[in-house]
Amino acid sequence: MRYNIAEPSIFMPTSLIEALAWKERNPHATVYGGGTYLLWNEAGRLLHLPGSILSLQNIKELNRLGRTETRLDVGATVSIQRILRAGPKVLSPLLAEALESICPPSVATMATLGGNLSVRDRCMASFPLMHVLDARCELRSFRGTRWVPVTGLRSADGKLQMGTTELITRIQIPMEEWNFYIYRRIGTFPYGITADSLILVIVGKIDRGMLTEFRFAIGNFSSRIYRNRDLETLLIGARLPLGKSKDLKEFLYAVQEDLKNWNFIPSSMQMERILHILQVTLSNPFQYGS
Amino acid sequence: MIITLQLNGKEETLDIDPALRLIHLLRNTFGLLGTKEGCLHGHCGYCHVLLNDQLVLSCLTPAFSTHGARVLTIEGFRGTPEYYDIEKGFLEVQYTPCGFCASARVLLTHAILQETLHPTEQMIRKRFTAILCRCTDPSRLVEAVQRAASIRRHRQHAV
Repeated sequence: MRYNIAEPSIFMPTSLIEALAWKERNPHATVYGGGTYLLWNEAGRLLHLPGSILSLQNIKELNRLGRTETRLDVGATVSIQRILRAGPKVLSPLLAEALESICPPSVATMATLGGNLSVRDRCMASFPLMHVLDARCELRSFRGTRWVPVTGLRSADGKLQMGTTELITRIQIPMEEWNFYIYRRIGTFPYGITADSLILVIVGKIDRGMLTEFRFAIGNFSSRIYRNRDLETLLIGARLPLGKSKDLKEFLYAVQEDLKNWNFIPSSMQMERILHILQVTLSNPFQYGS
Repeated sequence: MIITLQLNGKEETLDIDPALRLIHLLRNTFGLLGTKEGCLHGHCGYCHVLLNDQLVLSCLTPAFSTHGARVLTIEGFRGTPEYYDIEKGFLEVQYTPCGFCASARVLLTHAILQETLHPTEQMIRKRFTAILCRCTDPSRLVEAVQRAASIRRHRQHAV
């Protein structure tokens, strides 16, 4: 039995304007979308809820999913499962594969993309993917609206560049055609996919047997992700498949050296796996394409 | 905190502790024991219920978030024609899950059949990874879900 514990104040608006006005008055209120992060690691019978909670669940404006020719528009409270249910006509193969890997099916019915991106102290599983795909977020506060690319959503030191009164209301994902793509979770030990596993995203475009675009990012659930655009450009223009070329060896060596300077040094097994996946993918990217 | 929810088709208004999980509200307050309590971390999947027709884990759902929502547990689902499709499908292929995971499997089957009446083996196997229990043969499970789908297809065509 609990004594002298104040009940959290919970606000469940039905319109976005109400939510923004309340957030303006309560800037430190915790935003509740799907609730998966809030309840992460909660083992007790009673939940340890923050002092004030703004629940976005009943706001219909945030629960819309749409697709245009060039982009996918995802409302902040649309569940991952609902995005997946849109099917192959709406989702690109990379997005479908990656979203399926983000969380188990039971959690996917609750987890939201908006919530996944707006966790303050961690880059969750969708962050490296959205970073690589150049997605944009609509941030709204009572004072106005602004669009921020996911690449600019966090500063170099990993701080979320979002005001305390702002909410992510929409995510726009460009629907580009990638000729090869990989989304992998790499555990700290073989077959051990845990919450602290790494996320590796690789995408690339090939034109007339030549690598014209290549991006890759690594996330580890810390406040920063790894992405080096200088390294990404090293192989642009190379003729594919790279096989055992000198260019590929140099690239892999540069990645290995650069990863050592990163804030999170992966375990030797993870490092080996990252380099192996990069090598295998670039050696013959045609086998990982759509 | 006072919430109003529609539980198994009946409107309920009650004063709850906001820190309560939905599973404990269902089991302890309403005595709906068909929803089983497992890990409380969302790993085991025994506590699935339908919240606004969406399958959710009641252990990871705070009770306050059901304010204004429709909650359907196995007790409410039992007695509907959709339940009988699944029950018949399961029985016809002699698929008998254990008492601990049966309710979650029935609701998950219902959720799959709401999405498509032609579920593929791959889809069924993937979706059922949400339930950790290994009480029955997975190939029999695929057969049972596909049989339930076929029964529902026939029933809907008959109507």
